[in-house]
Amino acid sequence: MKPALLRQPAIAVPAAILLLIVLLAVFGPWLAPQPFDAIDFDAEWGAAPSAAHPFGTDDLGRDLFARVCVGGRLSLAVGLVSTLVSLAIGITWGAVAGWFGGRVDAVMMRVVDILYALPFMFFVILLMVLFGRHELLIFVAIGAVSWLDMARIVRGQTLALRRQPFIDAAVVSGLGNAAILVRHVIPNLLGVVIVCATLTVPQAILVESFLSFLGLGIQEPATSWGALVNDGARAMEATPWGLIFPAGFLVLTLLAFNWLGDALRAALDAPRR
Amino acid sequence: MLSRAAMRLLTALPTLLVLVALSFFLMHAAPGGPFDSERSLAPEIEARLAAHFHLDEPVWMQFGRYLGGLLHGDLGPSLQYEGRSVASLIADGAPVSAAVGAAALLLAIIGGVAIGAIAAMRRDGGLDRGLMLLALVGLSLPSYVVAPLLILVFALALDWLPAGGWDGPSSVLLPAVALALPQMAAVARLTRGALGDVLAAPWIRTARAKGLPERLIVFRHALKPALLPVVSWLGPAAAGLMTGSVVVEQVFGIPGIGRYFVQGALNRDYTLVLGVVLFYGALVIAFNFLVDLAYGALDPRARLE
Amino acid sequence: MSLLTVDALRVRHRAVTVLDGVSFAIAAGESLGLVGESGSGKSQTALAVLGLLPATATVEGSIRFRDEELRGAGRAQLDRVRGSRIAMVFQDPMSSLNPYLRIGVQMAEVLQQHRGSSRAAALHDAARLLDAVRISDPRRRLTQYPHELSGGMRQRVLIAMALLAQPELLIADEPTTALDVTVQAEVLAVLDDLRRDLGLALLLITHDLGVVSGNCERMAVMYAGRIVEAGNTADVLTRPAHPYTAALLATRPVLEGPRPIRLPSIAGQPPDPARRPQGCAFSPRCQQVMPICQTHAPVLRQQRDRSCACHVGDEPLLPTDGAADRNFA
Repeated sequence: MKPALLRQPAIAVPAAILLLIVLLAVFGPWLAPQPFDAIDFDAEWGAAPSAAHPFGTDDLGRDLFARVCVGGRLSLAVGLVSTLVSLAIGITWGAVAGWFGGRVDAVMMRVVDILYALPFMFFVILLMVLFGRHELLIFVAIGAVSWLDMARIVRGQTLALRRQPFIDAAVVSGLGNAAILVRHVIPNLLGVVIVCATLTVPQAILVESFLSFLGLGIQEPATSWGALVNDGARAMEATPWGLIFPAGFLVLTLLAFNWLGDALRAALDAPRR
Repeated sequence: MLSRAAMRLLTALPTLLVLVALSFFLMHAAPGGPFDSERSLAPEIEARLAAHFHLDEPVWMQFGRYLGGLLHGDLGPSLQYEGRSVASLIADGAPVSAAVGAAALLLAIIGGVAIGAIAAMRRDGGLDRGLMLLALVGLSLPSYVVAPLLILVFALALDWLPAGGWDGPSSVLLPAVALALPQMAAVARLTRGALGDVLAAPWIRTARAKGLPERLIVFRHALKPALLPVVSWLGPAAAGLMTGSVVVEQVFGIPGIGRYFVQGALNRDYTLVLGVVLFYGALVIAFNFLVDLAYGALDPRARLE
Repeated sequence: MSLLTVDALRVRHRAVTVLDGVSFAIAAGESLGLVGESGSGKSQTALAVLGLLPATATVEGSIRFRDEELRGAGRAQLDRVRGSRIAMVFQDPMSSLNPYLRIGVQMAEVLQQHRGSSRAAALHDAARLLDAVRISDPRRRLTQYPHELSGGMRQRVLIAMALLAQPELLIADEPTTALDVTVQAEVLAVLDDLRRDLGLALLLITHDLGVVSGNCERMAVMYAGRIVEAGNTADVLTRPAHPYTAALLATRPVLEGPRPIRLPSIAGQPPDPARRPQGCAFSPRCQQVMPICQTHAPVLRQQRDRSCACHVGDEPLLPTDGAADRNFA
């Protein structure tokens, strides 16, 4: 990211929030009084936040601070890895459709249209239920269903790029299709792809926490924000902090990503006006 | 747009076929079967059950049988709910899910358009910034976070509304709000952006030069074109609401289709899951078809295409 | 007494001054042509009169319509004048009509708003006006959408719409620029006929000297946000006093006699409004430029019904800073 962009508060603030959350998720567990899956037999079960347990404990006496941090690791990892998967599929699909145009484009985009019209989440649920709740499967499944927007955007951009003179020059100089796509087209898509990716991360995090909330995602003893929200919601009457802390971190993260995506898009559009 | 609607109809059947085939073979390829959980079943009973539901036939034959049933509008028997057909289960759940979904959709559209319009008329002012920040927050509030919080506040703390179950109109409200909130935020952002663009159009300047008050300019001249993106949004939104309804029905303990789906998937109730997926798929396609038609009705230029 | 009197009008968009002391007047029933290159401030002047500039623009000076001050007027006051007493026709007929509303709705609302007419009466009048601008089958046109009409028809619809409420002044901003040449002539003829029939005053904004000579009794030439010359159209066109007017006239294609190989053009570019040269804004492109032109802006000086802002041909002028020329064109 260019330093000039970071000087805009609309970009710097969410970026800083995200950095803090990532740092907390990565290093937080070492600051915690006990490992995330250890039970504090001295503390009350479902203890309120205190000096010993800053976010309180859950109904098994496990430290919630450690659990929120560890859950964050997983949620963030799902967001990033799934986005990478969707990037790989979406860019390839969109760039090929946009570059070759004509019938290839029509067929490829019709496939996207059809997939778009399907209730996709149900597929993900099916996949999770049927093939077990393996972490890798979560990554791939979410990535595999969230590439549609990316493909559409990349295709539109590629179509526009294809009319640019420097692409003609590359064609005339005898460069092959694949080489032009990799060397000239894809690098020029960077801006839109970054924006789209920034907005895909929260989508992926949402899907994972959605699955975990239903009990179809990540399994004990591992945990994620969605699973923690689910646990917290069950016991919310007695121990509301069990809901509020993971939900707060989840919402803050989603908000920061959406905010950052908005601001990046505005920054990207601005010079064109 | 009409040609697009026609195209949508033409592709509807193949789309549904792909949907059914994908779900069907996926389920049959997966390890485990519908009667695994009932551990104590004697092998001969399991064999008889399997034979009864034709699960002992080759997969492609089962698929053919299922498609044959579909042609007659038969979604088959449920493997878990004894003596119930999938169609009757869906018929039980559909009105419940539809009530919550329709209330949520209405809430999202009315609230979202109102918020977006107010923001667009005060573009770049304090109110606009405030509302758009709220919309960004709303967009980041998943239903399964909102739902428990709503229960915590309005059912448990204030005791104004029931915390769950299905008992009269009052039990629609909280689930509908939880379901609508993220969608309302999306509509507000769409409306604000589109109305802002439309209000900058040359023909709006013409309307101003005619001495029309701003109220008429917004409601007669600008709102209709500004609603076009909202109309296009309805297609994906329908899918989003259905997905959301799965959790919301779970949280509130509402006997809708979403719960059947989750239960069915967990229990390997092949026919029930297939039926629900098919039902949702058809609904989403129907919704998109209506959206295409509505788009054509709203935009006079689109009718020519 | 003048119908519209614009005095020392200054418009700034943030730090950029787009109008720098524009003054002119139009009498009832009179037609004034405002001529200049794009960016000279013609359209800004028109928008300023109707209060249609963006809210961020700073407007100074005075815009009097009869005895009403329009500069800084509130929306309610402006709405009583706009469309009712001063109407405006915009440049691009393709985008100036609302594509989502039927022609009838867009026309009728003017009368419903300003005259309190019923919908039926308003539609009846609208059909009559469409007939007056020579649009065939007016009843059917009212039920059509803009995209179903040709560009020339749309511009005539816009003119008919502007004239519906029988305004006293019509501002037409490049009404024919976007049209084919034959259609241009038709639209101008319609405009001219109606103007005479209705006793309407006209402020016609154009870059086309031919349009002015055919349609306007008086004309004013704008350059870089100022009026540099004004007077009787025939006088100005036959005996231009300002080098810029003369240069404009020289760029017109010659239709008789030997033709030049290339059309002449004025060397150089109009100044960037953000960076106007010191002194006369035209001096960098002027062929008769003198030292004083580069240091002092000339004032608009009036002799009988002609006025001109130029140092050339003047008695040596006392230096003025030229900020507040208040002579009327």
